[in-house]
Amino acid sequence: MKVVVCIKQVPDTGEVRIDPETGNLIREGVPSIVNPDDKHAVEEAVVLKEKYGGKVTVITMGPRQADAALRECLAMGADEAILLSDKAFSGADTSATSYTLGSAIKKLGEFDLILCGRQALDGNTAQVGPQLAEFLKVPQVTYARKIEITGGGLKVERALEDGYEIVETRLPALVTATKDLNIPRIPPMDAIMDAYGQKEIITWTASDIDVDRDKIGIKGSPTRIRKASTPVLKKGQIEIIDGTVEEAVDTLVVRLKGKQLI
Amino acid sequence: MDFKLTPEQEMIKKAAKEFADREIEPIAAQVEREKNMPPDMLKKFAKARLLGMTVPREYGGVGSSFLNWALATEQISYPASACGGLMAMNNTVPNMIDRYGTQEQKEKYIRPLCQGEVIASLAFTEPATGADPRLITTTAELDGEYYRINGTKRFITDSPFDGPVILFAKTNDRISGFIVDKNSEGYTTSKPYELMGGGGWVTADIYLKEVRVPKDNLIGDLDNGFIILLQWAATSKLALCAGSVGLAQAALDESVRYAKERVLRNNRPIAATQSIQWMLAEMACKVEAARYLLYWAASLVDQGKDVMREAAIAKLFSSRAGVEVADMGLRVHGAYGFTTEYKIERIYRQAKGNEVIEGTSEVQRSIVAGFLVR
Amino acid sequence: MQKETDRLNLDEYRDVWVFAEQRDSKLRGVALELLGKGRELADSLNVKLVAILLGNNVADQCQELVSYGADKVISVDDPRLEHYQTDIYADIITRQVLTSKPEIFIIGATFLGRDLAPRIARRIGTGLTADCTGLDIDEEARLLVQTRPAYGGNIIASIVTPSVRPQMATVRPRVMKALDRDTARRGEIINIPPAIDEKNIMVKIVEIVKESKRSVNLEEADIIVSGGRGVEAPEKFRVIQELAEVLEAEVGASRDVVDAGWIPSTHQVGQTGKTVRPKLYIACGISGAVQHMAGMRESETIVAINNDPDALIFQIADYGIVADLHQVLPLLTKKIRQSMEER
Repeated sequence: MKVVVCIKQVPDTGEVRIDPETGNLIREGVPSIVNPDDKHAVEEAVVLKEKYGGKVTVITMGPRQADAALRECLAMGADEAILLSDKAFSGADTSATSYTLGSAIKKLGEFDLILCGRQALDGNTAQVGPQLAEFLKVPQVTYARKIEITGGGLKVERALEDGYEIVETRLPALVTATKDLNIPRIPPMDAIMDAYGQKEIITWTASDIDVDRDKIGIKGSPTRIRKASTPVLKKGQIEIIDGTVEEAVDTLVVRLKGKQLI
Repeated sequence: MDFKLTPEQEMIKKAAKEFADREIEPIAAQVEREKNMPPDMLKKFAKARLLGMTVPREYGGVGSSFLNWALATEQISYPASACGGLMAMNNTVPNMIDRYGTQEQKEKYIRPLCQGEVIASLAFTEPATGADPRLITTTAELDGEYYRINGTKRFITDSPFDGPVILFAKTNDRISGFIVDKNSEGYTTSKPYELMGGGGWVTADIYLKEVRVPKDNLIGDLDNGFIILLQWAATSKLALCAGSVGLAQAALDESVRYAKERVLRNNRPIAATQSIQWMLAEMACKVEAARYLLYWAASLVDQGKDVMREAAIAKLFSSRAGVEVADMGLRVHGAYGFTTEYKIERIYRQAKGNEVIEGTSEVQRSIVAGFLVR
Repeated sequence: MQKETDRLNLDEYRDVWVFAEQRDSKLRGVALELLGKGRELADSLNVKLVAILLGNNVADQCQELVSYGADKVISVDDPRLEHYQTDIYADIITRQVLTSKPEIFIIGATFLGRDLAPRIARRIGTGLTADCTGLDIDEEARLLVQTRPAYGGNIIASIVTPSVRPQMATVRPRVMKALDRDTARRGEIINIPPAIDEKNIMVKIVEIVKESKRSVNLEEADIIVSGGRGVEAPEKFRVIQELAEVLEAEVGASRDVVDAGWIPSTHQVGQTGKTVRPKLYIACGISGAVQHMAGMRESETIVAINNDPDALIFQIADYGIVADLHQVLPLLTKKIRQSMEER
């Protein structure tokens, strides 16, 4: 089985803090991690490889430091890691990103399955997976909770808002992983050493893959960010309800009744 | 001299921390209380390749540096649980077998330890002594193809569990090391001691009555076993250092968190008061100093240096630091620290152990002084 | 993919389109919310508001769409469209969009919408903005300004799609407001034959399972009572559960409390847990860590109970009580129960 996993290195937004004085995001010292949903994708790929044999290739579009994220995936059991790194790729929205990733995957040749995390901690769009599937003209199955390889291809249990559905599709296909899919393994000590020692990260720039320069990076992004700001914390003033506990509770009940909430 | 960790070392540290967070922290309080380590814990360590870290791959180990091992041990010690202690023996003992053992011994004994199938022990201490080879009374007498071993060992970690024990016995008025199968006939253990801290950790006496050990199980040279003990002690001290650093860091983190939450009458957290801040600062200094002594000593091992002096310095300092940090931490918590609601009380008890086991601080002082005045 | 020349003729693109999501032949709430917003956008631009509806036996829903603001409804009604399937829906809708050339096309950011919209956007070659919480018209540039949270809600971004059409966006449910239903409204209803090419259906649905409501459903809850470290011990979580019971609310929790094992992770609210937008969120003993607030800051009304007056949660709350939750909650539960019995 040839599995390709698309990952993203993201800031650990769980560790992000807001500067109490300026209200701005404090970004220094925030560690970078492999996007959690993507880790589930890597784990699943490795599990499939262990079960059915084959090869797992991890690929990311990012700056040089995304190297660490790729090494972690190698330490989890991926066989090969590709870093798409080029200034020309930067500023990409999900459309340009899926185009770039898709073009690189085309260069890799044939594959059976592409796994992506459902969404990234920073962008939160959940768009790259389906857009990549469309670009490569393969079937997509999103919100995967369980994956099974069958004689005909793939059988996936995917989450719905109020339950789940079981779907079947042929390979090659693209599946997006949710955290319910598995528990990502902790990279063992020897695998970590090998990820840094034995294995090499292959780096591709825009010239290494067959891309139309107008479709990558900021140039290839149909959407543009006009403005980004930290949100003003909430509308209106807070009413701190004073008094004894008894009095405060009474006042709160009155307020909530007034808003028809209780 | 670059004190930064390499990306590989960062990942080692991160993976070990994830292991501690996922596998040990959630059960730590319960293991402490019930003094009952889950039976699958050793296998989990093996799967994460945290055992036999410094032993070559060809024998089943990880082939990693001592510094990596120290980094991992520090993180595993953070939950301040006896579970972390499982990592030490199956690292330090296979390391000795690799250094002093014959090819056959390496091929036979190291892999099962790395794979978490059995637990290693090391038995030197007896009722009469924990440090002086001349006071050892356990004897080993050559009888044909075997040695017959008789005697008593005291306070031996994991002695009741299957696996090999490197055991020191008197031969020709000196001592020799033997690899003894803990399953041997004539080998029995006492009831485990009840300890002040580290609930779940098993330490018991060994009674050896006519235990027969094949003569090929002599490890190292005959009559020259003491050097093995000394070398083992040096690495074991590094494990203890890492243990002290881990639990001291935990004490610091717990205390900082508590100090920010606990408010005084004017709704100011105690973290805003000078008395608490000064204690936290002291604690932070001690943790950092202990940490870098550990990394320093471990790096020297990687450079092929002998670290008997450095290990003694590191152990002496870090075990005392651990006790002091735990003490200050408990004072920061106030009366709440005295309850089992908070982690600090078990850190306090465990920290004390590191000061007296595997060579008391007084022994360490003698060692360091020995290097200075001879 | 669109031809290059199309990009220059933005003037050819008119009208605001809304995808009308249905479930079991009934319109979902988000469809009506989108119409509410869509009406506003269409009026700003002086164009028509069109709803596109795919389903089975949805004739009666067409009129509903008009009653909720649509000027025109494109309906594709066929048994094969009863359950959402990516390829069929994407095929049909893309064809309609390419034919009719709307300038704006919005879809609810539901599981369905977030599966469908990117596929369509990529096929057309246009821009798509995810999970928007705000939509406005820049009249001068005739652009849709799409507002959305990023970075776990710590950043609000304004995004535009300057050179391609339609400008597509998925919109977060329960943020926009539906119009009042007006059965007097009149609109054009067009039925289109499905023209499904079975060859293009790449994924087959084998089974659909609805899970019982007893599973925690924070995302749909109207009221959530949430507990954090201030609850102090797992046994004490009862006070939270009792208040939730009397309010018929769901129980939520902060990450700390879930990590400590006091409550299953299905209750976790926050960036790595669930994002919720209830009408009422009562945060008890929760300090307001950034990643928790990211999960609940869009709640309509937030009540915070915490004995630390500097707790960050007070910065986003509407009402706050600085006191020990173990004193406040039992009393609050009692008072609410009393007032309900009085009714």
